[in-house]
Amino acid sequence: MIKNYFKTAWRNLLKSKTFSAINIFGLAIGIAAFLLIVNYLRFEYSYDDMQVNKTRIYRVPMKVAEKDGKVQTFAFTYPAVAPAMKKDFPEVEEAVRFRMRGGIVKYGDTKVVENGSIYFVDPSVFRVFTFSFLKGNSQTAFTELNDVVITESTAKKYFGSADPIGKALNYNNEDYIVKAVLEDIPANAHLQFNILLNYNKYIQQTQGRAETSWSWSDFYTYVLLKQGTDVHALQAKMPAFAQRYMGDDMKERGYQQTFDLQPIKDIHLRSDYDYELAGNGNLGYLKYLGIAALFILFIAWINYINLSTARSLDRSKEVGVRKVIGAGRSQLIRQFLTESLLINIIGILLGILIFLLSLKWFAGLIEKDITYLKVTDWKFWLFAVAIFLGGTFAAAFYPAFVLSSFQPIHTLKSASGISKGKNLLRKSLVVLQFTAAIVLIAGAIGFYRQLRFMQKQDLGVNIQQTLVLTQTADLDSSSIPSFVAFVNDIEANPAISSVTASTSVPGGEVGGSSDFNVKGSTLGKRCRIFGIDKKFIPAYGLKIVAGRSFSNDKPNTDTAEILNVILNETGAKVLGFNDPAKIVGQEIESSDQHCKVIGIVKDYHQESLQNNYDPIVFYPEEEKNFEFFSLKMNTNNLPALLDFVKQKWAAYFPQSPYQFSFLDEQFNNQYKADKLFSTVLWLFTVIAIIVACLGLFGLSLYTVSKRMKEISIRKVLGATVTQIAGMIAKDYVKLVLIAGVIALPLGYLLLNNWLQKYAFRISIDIWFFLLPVLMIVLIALITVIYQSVRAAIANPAKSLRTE
Amino acid sequence: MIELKGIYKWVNTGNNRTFLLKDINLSIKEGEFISIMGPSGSGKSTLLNVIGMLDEFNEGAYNFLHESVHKLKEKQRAALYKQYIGFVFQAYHLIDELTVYENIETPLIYQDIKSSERKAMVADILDRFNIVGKKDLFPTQLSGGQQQLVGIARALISSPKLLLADEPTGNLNSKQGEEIMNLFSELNKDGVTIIQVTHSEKNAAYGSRIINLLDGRMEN
Repeated sequence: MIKNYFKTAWRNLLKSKTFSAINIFGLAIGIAAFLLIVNYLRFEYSYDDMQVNKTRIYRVPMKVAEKDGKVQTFAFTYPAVAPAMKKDFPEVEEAVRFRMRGGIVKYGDTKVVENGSIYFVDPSVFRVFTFSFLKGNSQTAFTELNDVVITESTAKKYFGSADPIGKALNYNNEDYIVKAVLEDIPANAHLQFNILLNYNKYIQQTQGRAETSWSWSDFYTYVLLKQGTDVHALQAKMPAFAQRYMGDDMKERGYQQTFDLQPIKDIHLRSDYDYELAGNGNLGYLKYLGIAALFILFIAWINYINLSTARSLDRSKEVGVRKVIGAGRSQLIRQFLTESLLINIIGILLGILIFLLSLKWFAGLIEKDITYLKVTDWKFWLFAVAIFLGGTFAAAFYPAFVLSSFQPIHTLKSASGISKGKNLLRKSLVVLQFTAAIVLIAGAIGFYRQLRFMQKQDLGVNIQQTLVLTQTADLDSSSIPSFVAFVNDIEANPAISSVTASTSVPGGEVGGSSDFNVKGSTLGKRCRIFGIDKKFIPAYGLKIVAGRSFSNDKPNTDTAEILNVILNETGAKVLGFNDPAKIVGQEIESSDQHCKVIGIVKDYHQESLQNNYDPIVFYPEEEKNFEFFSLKMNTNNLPALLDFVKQKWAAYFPQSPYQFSFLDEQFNNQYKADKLFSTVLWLFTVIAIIVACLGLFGLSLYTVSKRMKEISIRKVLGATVTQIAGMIAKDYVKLVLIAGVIALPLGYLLLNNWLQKYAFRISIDIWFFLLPVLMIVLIALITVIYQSVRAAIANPAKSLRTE
Repeated sequence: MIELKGIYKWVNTGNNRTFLLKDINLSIKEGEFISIMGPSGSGKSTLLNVIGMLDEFNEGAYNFLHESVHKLKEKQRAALYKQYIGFVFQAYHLIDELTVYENIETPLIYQDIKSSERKAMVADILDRFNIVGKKDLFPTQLSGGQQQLVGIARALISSPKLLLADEPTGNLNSKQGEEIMNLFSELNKDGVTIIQVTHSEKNAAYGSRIINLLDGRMEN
């Protein structure tokens, strides 16, 4: 019986090659796209899965609410939190602090700038987190203050193939002895590092501040809770905890401190704390991709349902005959299900093949290491196969049901087995398809426009033609002469219009921050602090809207003296001055510094347009503390200039590796994730359109062939080719327009929801929706008109004769 | 075998009721060979379909082998006709995707008959109809007469008591038609009850009795 079903199914598949091909390819493309997306989502959701204690590890981020209600969030916290929590809460089994450092690490002649990949960590780190030791072990790793643990590739970088154990890495003029080597940290770990140092060493270096401070907030803190701990109960104890240690300070300075407990599995995708570690995923993007994946699969299956029911006309006679010669309904349903199964299985296998073949290319596109995207988990396949089989049955059941319901008396007499009702259902499904396609296109257009908007917007700061050099060595006062000489030498080159030094550059968060209040008020406001020299404001084209710029103002060498500062407009507003000019001349103070506001700069985009303006306090800084040189260039011979700068750098700062970047590139790097997402989104949108068009092609091919007789009669009666093409195209255009009407509110909600995440955003235009509708209408028209013209120019005698 | 009493069938179009069958009273015994005649639209095919249980009627009583068809549910009716009735069509209605052999075999598959038994039965009937050489051909590769032969073989494979034929020779030339009618006579002699719808006086003459229909009413 089954054999017979498959035999008939196979013959049917071969008989109608076009339909089988459309169905199979549509399904295969849909399934491949679905697998690519779902596999990517699997990767993103797998972050920190390798942690054995993943259900018990929580990070302790914090929030600070100021009096006026503005809440600042921090992914890190104070160093005193970890020991205090361990002492106060029996639920806390272990606590670990991570303090990120960077700088030059040396071994022999090898000098490497380790940027943010060095952490001081509590020795308890190995009891909380799971790492694989290649050499050494967790017990002995941090027995001495100067012990260091490195990863495998870091070991290779410094020591080549030699055994790293016992060798000394030099960092900040201090030797650290390698005690253990870890396997490289998997890509799906939110904490990435090369080098771990003993936290006790850091406590010593900071004279204990790194153990006791309740104000220095740079410490990513993780706790391991005991088995069976009720997290909510523990979270409920945190306000009292904050009160116990910080109550007095909160009262005095008028803020509200809260500590949170964040499950480690939430960090990669669900964290919206500021100062988050780099490389976090964007749940919004992933959700949208997930929707796109479902849309594509859904469109492919609708194609299947539509084409199969449309073709039921052809099959109705066969159904009638089979019924008359003794087929029961269930036997027919089984037969048609077998046919669907056959087509779907071929489609699924082909889809899986396409998926496997395109994985490498896709990994390149999303800039991920393919080894992490390779599917090794049988559960993934189980899940995928379950979805596919479920979808196959859902898609197969309706056509089988329709086909098997035909009454032989009707189907054997004439070929009018299809009633209006089924047409309506088919049309609704087509409308649904188009709706999905329009929403996807509108989303892709909206996102692309937002990206363009962010990149084209006037930043209020000139980042063009700017070469940025990064000072990675810690300088002391003795290096001031080389600093000055370096700047003078560079500026003497006519290709350089100016050189300015600062503690940060546009293109990212300003490094430090501090609480400020207007003198006489206790209302503390957290502002970014930005150390610059006097050339910074003119060189970057920032506008002074009130007061003056820096000239020869004294840097902050003596905390007893009043420091002249410049605020940005937001800074002035935050401190309570809606008219920024009025704050000029006022005194403001932080915990250790009295300042006087001498000027206001117009707000500019320090960061990408995803972020709002931060309050910034600019202050004159000492030469030795500047981290960046910005060179404003004016040259046609870039290689020569770069060479010149490099030589000067090597001459004046031999201890510091030469590191340069172009500021506009650097700035645009902030949009990397967005650009990537835009590319991926377009890719899948195009796939969705292709699959939808395949279906449309098949359906209109079929409709036209079924209306051949009508077309011939009309032609005999004098209709022109244009009229006939128009008549057939009209039906489809109507469906697209209905889909457009449905897609408008859907797409608007989706896009609006999404744009909310951007501080500076475009407004949604009607043409985001008109364009996709027009696009689909155009594609539909081309498809339909091509076929109807072919039908219309055919010889009417031919098709009329067959009746 | 067949007892029709006061059968009415109509369709409503707007306010008008059009009668397709009007007060049909008919009794057919086993072994009869009946020809139904009448002009186009007189209700011949409708009557045949009612007898074959493919179509329903609005009023009256129909007894088939002592079963009251009008009281049966659709499923039971289907079971009944599958067991006892074979159909032959003017347009043959073979399944294009299946070979001659498979076309004939299909009814047996639906009756869950074992593969070995099926082989024997199909071989037997192919032999009897002299179409063994054609068994692996597809319907489109056959002439009309041959197709109809296959159609009849398929109808007979499950040994029905009653064979219903709707203008079985309508698409055939006169020689082919004659062959089919001779086949019908033979089948009838072997004990198969036959009811055929025909336009042709000559074909009708093969039967033992002629029923004339006009506007849904029996004339006699």
